[in-house]
Amino acid sequence: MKLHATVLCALAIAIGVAAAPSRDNAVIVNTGSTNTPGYKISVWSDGSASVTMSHRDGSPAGSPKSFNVAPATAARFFSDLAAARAGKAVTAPCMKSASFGTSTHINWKGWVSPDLDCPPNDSLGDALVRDYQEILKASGVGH
Amino acid sequence: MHFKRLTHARLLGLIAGIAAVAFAGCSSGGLQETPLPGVQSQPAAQQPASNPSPDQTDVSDASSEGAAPVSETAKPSHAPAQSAPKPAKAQAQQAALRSVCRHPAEPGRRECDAIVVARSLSACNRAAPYCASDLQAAYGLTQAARTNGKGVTVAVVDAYGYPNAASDLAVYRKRMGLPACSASNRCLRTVNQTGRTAPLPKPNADSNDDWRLEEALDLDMVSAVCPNCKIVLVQANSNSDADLAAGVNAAAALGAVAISNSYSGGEANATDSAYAHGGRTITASAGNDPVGAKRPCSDGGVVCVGGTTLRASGRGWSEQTWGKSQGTAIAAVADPKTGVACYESAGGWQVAGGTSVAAPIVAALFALGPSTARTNASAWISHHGTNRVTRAAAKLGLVK
Repeated sequence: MKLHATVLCALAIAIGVAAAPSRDNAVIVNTGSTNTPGYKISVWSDGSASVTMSHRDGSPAGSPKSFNVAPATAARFFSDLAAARAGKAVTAPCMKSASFGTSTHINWKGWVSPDLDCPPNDSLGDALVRDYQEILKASGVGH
Repeated sequence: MHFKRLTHARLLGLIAGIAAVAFAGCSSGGLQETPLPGVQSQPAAQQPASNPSPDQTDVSDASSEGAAPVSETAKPSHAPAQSAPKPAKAQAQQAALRSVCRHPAEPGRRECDAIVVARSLSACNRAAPYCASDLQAAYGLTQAARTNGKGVTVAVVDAYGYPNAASDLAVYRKRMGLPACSASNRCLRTVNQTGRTAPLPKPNADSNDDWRLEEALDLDMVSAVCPNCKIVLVQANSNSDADLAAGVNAAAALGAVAISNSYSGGEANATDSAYAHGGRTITASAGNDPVGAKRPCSDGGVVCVGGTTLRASGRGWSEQTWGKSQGTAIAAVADPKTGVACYESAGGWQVAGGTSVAAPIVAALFALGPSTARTNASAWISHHGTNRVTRAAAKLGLVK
């Protein structure tokens, strides 16, 4: 009886998880600079997001703050991420202000984007930079 | 078995119910907060060395004469500017700062100390953030700053536009008691990467890569050390290697005897002849991360400028190495904890650190000195073994 109940429960959970709508997630990581803090923005495909400021070693500096990205922006962001990864989007190497320059990368499903604080080299990178700027604006960081 | 007595409908209902509970639990709990593998592979932060090396300590006997008169309310150098009542203007400046750093780090942490802080500037009293008079005094340049540099041009090369450059510089120089430097008195020229005054590039739309504060800092530091120098601000179209190199060429063509570049990075293995203009001192920031010097600092002929921690010590000053020293020729104040005052209208008076401070200081130093030293400043520094501004100033005959 106990075994049957366990199997039943596992089956139910499996069915439940399979029935749940999958939510994609990506994390935008900015290193900060000597004079400015960095941040980490976690974005979900349904538009929910959170931002955490970070120290120079990447450790969090405070609690995450939730915010929302427009659903259309979120959908476009994940679509552009897929395209950028498939198309191997690149940005040109660039100079950074020694004391104010930062680097920004997106981590998505194990893929790490090129540095989005350098000029994009193609339309794929261009789209990604636009998306990330929009998300950054929604987060309230830097604006 | 009891299980066999369940009807088919009851079984389906039970499964559905358990599934609903399980899904609700998953969606409100762990899955949402589970760290993703990708998060762990974030790029390495450009962590500067947190503790300066105790070696290489200099003490100058310079006094703090020449402090500019100031009148606004003071705050300790790194205290968050939010405890005391403030006039409306200061509150507006503080609000502007909050919008840049919405979630400041914890007080007492280095990067928090280093956050640019909008604040009123009260006294120039040998404590950070340092004023022009402090820097002149620390490096024994007070007299030379008054008399030298007339007719000499220093260029600072940066990326993107900064429409308020002239008016912000005017605020800095007035507060510091320095002579006015504007287009109207033919002291300040702002040009694009081809050396023309128009069209000038726009500020960068990427809020992570806004160069305006860098440009303000460069202009302020040149002004602080060489108040009589003319200044050319070169605004490259972008932060690409090619555009900034074009900017350096433009600066040389406009007659700058010293050219400051507070940036690094780009193509790892490239070299560029733009940074090898004979007869001119070309300085570049070493950067603030512990790895080796990057371009253009590593280019031959460039004076690679590292950082120091600068503190008043008795009647004089002391300096210790801050950040990396490998690959650098000379060093000047850069530690954000002993940062400098600079002015940029979006944030007001701010405290800034990093080798972005040091490169324009050294460029202005050589502009104060004799032209013979400028022809190959890198070799001159090496020959004289002057890895500190104070020593170089003495060898240049600037310390009276």
